Amino acid sequence: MKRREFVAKSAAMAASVPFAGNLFAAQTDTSKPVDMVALAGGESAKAMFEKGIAEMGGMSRFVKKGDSVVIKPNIGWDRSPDYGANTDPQLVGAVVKACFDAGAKEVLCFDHTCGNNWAERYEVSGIKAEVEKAGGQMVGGNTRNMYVRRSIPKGKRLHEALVHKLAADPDVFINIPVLKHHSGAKVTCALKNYMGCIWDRGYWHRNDMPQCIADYATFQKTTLTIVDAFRVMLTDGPRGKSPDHSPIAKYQIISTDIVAADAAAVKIFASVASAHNMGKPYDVSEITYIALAEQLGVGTSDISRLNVKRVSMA
Amino acid sequence: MRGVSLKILRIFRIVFALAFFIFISAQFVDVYNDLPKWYYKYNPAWVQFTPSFLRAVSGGALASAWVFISLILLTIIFGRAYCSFLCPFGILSDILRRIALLPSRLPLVKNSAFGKKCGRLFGKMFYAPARNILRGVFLVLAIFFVSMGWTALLGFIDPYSLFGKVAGGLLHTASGYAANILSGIFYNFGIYSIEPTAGSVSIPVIAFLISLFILIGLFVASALRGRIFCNTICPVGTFLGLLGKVSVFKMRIDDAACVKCGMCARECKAQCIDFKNKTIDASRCVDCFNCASVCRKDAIYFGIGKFGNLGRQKKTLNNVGDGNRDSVKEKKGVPGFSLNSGRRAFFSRSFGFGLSILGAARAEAKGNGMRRRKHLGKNACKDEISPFSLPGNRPDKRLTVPAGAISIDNFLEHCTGCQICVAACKAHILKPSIGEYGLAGFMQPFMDYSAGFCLDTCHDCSKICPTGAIRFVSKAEKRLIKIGTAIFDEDLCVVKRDGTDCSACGEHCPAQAIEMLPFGKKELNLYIPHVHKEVCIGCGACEYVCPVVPHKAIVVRGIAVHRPSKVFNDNMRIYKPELESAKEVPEKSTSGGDVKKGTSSSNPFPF
Repeated sequence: MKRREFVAKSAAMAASVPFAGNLFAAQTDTSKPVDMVALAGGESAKAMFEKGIAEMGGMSRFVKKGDSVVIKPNIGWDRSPDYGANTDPQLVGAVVKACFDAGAKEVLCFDHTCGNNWAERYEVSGIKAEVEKAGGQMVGGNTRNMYVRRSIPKGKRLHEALVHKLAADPDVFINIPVLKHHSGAKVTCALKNYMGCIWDRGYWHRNDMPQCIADYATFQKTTLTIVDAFRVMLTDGPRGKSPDHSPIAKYQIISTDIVAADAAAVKIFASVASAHNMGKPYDVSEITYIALAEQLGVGTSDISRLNVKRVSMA
Repeated sequence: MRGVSLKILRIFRIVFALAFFIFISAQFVDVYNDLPKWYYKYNPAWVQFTPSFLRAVSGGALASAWVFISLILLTIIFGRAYCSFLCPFGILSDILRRIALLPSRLPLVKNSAFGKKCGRLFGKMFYAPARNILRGVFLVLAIFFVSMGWTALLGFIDPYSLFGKVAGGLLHTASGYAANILSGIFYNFGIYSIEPTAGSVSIPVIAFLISLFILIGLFVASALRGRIFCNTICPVGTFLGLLGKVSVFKMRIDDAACVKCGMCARECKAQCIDFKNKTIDASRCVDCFNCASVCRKDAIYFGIGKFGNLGRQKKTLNNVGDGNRDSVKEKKGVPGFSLNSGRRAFFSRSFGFGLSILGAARAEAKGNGMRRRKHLGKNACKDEISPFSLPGNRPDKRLTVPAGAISIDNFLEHCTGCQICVAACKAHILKPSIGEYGLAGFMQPFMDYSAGFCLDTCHDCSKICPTGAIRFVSKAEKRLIKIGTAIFDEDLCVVKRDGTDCSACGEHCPAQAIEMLPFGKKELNLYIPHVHKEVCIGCGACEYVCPVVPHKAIVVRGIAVHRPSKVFNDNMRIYKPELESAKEVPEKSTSGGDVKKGTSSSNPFPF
């Protein structure tokens, strides 16, 4: 089976697998602002975002005129976009454009990449080109002098951290993670993407990483979370071994609640994994940092409590 | 006419030398590793004499010796033009001399006491006899170092390697620090156009001090005595000087035109013009053309002896090398040969002796295995372990050398410590060693996995290395060269020690040599790394990211001889999550036939 054929078939399968207890029937409350938009079946991550942000009430709901916007995509790995190891570059570009359209003064993009060759990763991921095309700016995140010490009062294990200057006190902070498998955290998405905001990841790794992830989420201001699940890396994450392990799933979640976004993302991961019979369909309860973040009041993993709008673009 | 053309030649020399100096320095200044591809195609370090010699003697094919042969031919035709045109250390010496002379030449300072003093101290050069015994000693020493495989020590008298040490220790670190400090300042003001470097450019303090010492030493020497390094210590200068004596073209004095004014000797930074006897020591002349451009009588020319002397009454002694002390004596005997014959024989003997040692050393290295392997401990796997450990680290952590080095011995026996790979290293993990390889490996770079890890997308050290210490490997080849093996100590790992998630090593491994296996009770959902040793290439990613302090739970143990690694395939998996998931998922059909196409009635959202 050719890859493209395989991907097309699996997308169809993903779309047809019914799940018990689904809330698709639940109607969106039009009187209240939308908390989360879930999209499926779009042509590209960019098209899905453009549709989704309109459903959220437009970017101007989050970005005010003259705001300095910081976006944090996942640019962790030196992998081209078809691996799904980094956030879709065109999606990032579209976010930058939407922010400028809403009147943002500047849009800054950074990640503390895995490995020192951050400049190369910015380029290989395609994100640098798209961000700069849209008028945004890439900022380095791999030197110590970019980080400032901040205390995390609500943290259980993590009481202070060296936080990237841009993440420390932003006007608007937009988290744009990519949904993928992770050999340690099992599934990585929005909350874990914040490991790219801090300097000393080693401290987290040796001090109960899920707890540290949850602790940091109590500190990090998050205006919006945009989960890129257009391609979902199902195995060999987070770096990826082959683009074949990252089938096109055509999902996206735009949410104001980061924990809910992660919970929804894990469900999407499980559904795509089952449909492709690749990787492991994890349950939300297996992804420990989601429950820990919920306990700390970062958000809710109970999606039914949110005003969710589901959009099928197929 | 003659004088005009040599003036043009001198200007050409200055422009060419400066351009070449900037060209070769570019690799050291380029802290972002942004040099274009063609830079490596016309790699300026490759035309350096000692590296080309080291490549030539061990390359195995004549093709690897073409630069060396070209340089020899160049010298036989034009004399020591290499020293003025291509040797970065010689050019640096000229630049430093100009800097020393600056106070006496700048309009504002010129007439001050300081300016006058500088002019008095450094302004006038004068003839000095050749220090031939010293020159011979250093040449023999150089041959001795090469034949013993102590190229690191050779790197302390070889001009290119000395230049590399200065450029690597000062220029590269200074550029890097400047970029980082400036970016830090500008970032505070919201300006993000100056990027910091992609890693730390810092080097050990001792390496920095050595670079500084070399630079200051060269500055003092150049200011007071011009090319004294080149004509006393430099083994390349001495060797090329032997060829320069018999070169086709050389600087000559027109006996009839010369009025013995001494202007040329004042400008001669090689201190090789004995104007009283109207001779130029071709073994020390570096073809800078300064003398000819100041001669008001056009008495100095760059020409072929036979034709240049046509029509003159008296045959000029062009080949006299031993100064005016013996010039009277010399004129009696065979011109230019009387005193030299003995010395020349000595050189040829010692050179032949050196070559024979060299041959013996190579034979021994090939036949009996590597000398440095003697004190190795017991082998855990079939590879011989690198003998070099890092103090303060786990004892099973052993040093690696970059892919392309073939073996630790090949690396150590070819590397002159020029630091160009340190400057080229994208990950900034190649650092000059202090005691890591012992004294015989001083300043040869080692891979410092505490500063980062060897990137599978980079092969820049193999592109730039001029000596053959790191031979060219493509990126694809490099990903499959095993330079070491990751050794995992379960008892140190946080997963076992603290019972918490980590897997930093597993996620960073580019070769997929680390598989995460379920660990402990199932409900804890913990995974612990397992190293597939044959797949591991020893890049150090796992070691770098391992969060355990003070001793990493996973370290790389270098192997003495590199070899191909295996590509990971799914059959190697010990733990197969697919099987587990297959039990949980009822529908696992991969054929699309029985799957309904997505209809509007089915819900695409699993929540």
